[in-house]
Amino acid sequence: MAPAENFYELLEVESTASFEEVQQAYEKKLEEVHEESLASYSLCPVDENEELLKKLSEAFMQLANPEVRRSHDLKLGAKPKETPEQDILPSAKVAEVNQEHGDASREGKVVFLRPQLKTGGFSTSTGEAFQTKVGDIQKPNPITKLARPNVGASLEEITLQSAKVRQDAFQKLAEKNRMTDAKLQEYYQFLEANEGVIRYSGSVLHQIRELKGITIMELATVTCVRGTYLESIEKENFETFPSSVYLKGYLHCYLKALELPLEEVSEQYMTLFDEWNEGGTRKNSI
Amino acid sequence: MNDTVNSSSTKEIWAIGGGKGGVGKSFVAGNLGILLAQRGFRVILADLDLGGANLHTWLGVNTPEQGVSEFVDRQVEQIHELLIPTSIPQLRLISGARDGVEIANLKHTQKMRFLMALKRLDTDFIIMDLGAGTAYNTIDFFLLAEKQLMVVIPEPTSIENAYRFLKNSFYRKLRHTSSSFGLRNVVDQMLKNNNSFGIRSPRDLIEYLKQMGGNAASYIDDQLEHFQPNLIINQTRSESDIRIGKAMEKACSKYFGLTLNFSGYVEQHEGVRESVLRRKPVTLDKPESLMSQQLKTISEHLLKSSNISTPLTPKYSRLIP
Repeated sequence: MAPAENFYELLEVESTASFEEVQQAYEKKLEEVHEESLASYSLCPVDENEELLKKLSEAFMQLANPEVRRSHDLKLGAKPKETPEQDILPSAKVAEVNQEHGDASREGKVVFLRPQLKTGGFSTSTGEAFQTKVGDIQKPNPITKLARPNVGASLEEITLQSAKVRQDAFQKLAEKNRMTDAKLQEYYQFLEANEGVIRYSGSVLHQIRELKGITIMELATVTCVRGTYLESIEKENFETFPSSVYLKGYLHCYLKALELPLEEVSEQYMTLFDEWNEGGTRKNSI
Repeated sequence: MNDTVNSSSTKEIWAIGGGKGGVGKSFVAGNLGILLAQRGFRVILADLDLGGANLHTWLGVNTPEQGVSEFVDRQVEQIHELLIPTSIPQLRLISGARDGVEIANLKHTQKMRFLMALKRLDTDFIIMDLGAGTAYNTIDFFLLAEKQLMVVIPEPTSIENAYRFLKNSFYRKLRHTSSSFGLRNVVDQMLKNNNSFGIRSPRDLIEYLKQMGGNAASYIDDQLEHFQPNLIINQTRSESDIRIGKAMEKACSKYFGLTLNFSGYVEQHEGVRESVLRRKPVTLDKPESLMSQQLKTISEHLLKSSNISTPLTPKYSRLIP
C-alpha cells in the first residue's frame, strides 16, 4: 500500500468521518461501482472495475480498523486527525474522560481527545485548534437516524456502542489469528504431506477459518461483507456473485481478515472461478 | 436504402428494439401506441416480431386473419388491407401473427416492398415492435425509423444484447450510407474482423474516420448526429436500477463514442401480469397507476423531440384511409 494514498478521498468521505459515515460512504461507492459495471457490461475491460473495487475494499478495511486508521492519518500529512479517534474509543475510556472533564464539558467548554502518538493512547486537551466536544462526539446524521429508529439510546451512545463492537471484534479476530498460528502451520504441513501442495480452495479456506475458531458472523462484522457471500466463497457458489469483480473484492476482505497471503490465495482461488466461468454461460466481451 | 422519410408525408416512425427477448418491447410499443392515440394522434402499431408476434394479445384483438406475412407473400396486395381497428380510437394494428415468415428470412425485395408500403400509409405515427435478435432485417427496420427506442432491463444479459444491437445497427447504418460519400470501400475494410486499422469498436471507427479529415470526418459527424437511440429501462426495482440509465449513457459514450438518450423507466409491477391475463394494456386498464404515469412520462419525453408535436384533431380521426 502506497503510504501517500488517501483513503478518505477514495471513499469520498471527510477525514473526520465517524466509522458509520465511512461505512455508508463505502456502501455508496460499492453501489456506484455496481451500477457502472452493470451499465458498461460487455463494454468495459473488466479489470478497471476490479481494480477500483479492490482499492475501495482496501480503503474501507484500513479505515475500519482503528489502529490502522490512526497510522493512515499520520502518514497522510501534516497533522494527525483528531476527531475520528472518538468514535473508535472504547466507551469506557470516553466515560472516564467525561468523568474527568465532566464539569468543563457541561459548562460548554471544549474538551478534546488527542492521540498520544508514542504510546498509542489518548490524552485530553483544551487547546483552540480542535473543534469537537466530547459531548458532541457524533454528529447526528440523517441516514443513521433512519436506519436506527429510536431504541432508547442516544445517537452518541449507539455510535459508541457500534464502534465498540467493531473494536472488540477486531481485537478478538487478531487474537484468534495470533493464537492459531501454530495450528495453521500444522494444517499446512498436513496438506503438504497428503496432497504434495497447498491449493486454496473453498473447502481449504473453510478449514482454516474453523481451525482459527472464527465464525462467519465474526468475519461479517469485521469485513462488513454479508455472511452469505462469505459462505459462498467457502462453498464456491459462484453464481451468488453478480460478477467476478465482486467475488474478488469479497475474497480480498475475507483473506485479509484471516491474515492469509493475499496475492497467492487470491490467484489460486480465482482459477476455480475461471474454470467454473468457462464451463458456464458468462462472457465478458461482445 | 434511403434513411429519411418521404417529405410529402408528415408521419414519424418509431422503432422499438433492443436485442433480448422478454424485456418488454411489445409492452412498451403497445402502451406508447395507446398513449399517443389518446393524445389525439393517428397511430399504427406494426408488429414486426414476425416469429413471435403477440401485440394483438396486448391490445385484446383476437388472432388476426391477415398480417405482414400475407403482404410479404403477396396474398394481400395493398398494405392498408392489413390494418385492424382496435378498441382504441385512432389506433390501428398491423399484425405479424401468422406463422411461416421469419423476419430474418425476408428477401431484400420483400423487405423493400413492405418498407415502401409502410411509408405510404396515411397516419401520424407508426410504431414498430421489432423482434429480439440482431438479424440484418430487424436492424434495417430499426434504422428506417426516425426515432429508435431500445428497451433494456437492468440485467447483464439484456444490457450486453442492447450494446450488441446498438453496435451492429451503427455499423449497418454506416454500410448503407457510406457509398453516397464514396467511403464504402474504406468502411467495408474497417468493418472486417481483424482489420489492419485496429478498429474494434464504434469508437475506434469514429476516431479513425475523423482523423481522415475532409469528407470522412464530416460524414461521420453527420451519422453520429442522426443516430442517437433512446433508452428505456423496464422492470426497475430500485433507485439504483433507474440510475443505470444515466450510467449507460455515460458508458456508451465512453466506450462506443455513441449517444444514447435515457428517456425514462418503468417500475416492475405485478399489475402487468394481471393486465396481460385480462388482455388489457396497463395504460387502459389502470391509467392512474404509477406504471401508466411512468409510461406517459416516456411518451411525453419522446414527443418533445418529435417532428409532430401538435395532436391533430378530429378531421383526421377516420379509421380507414
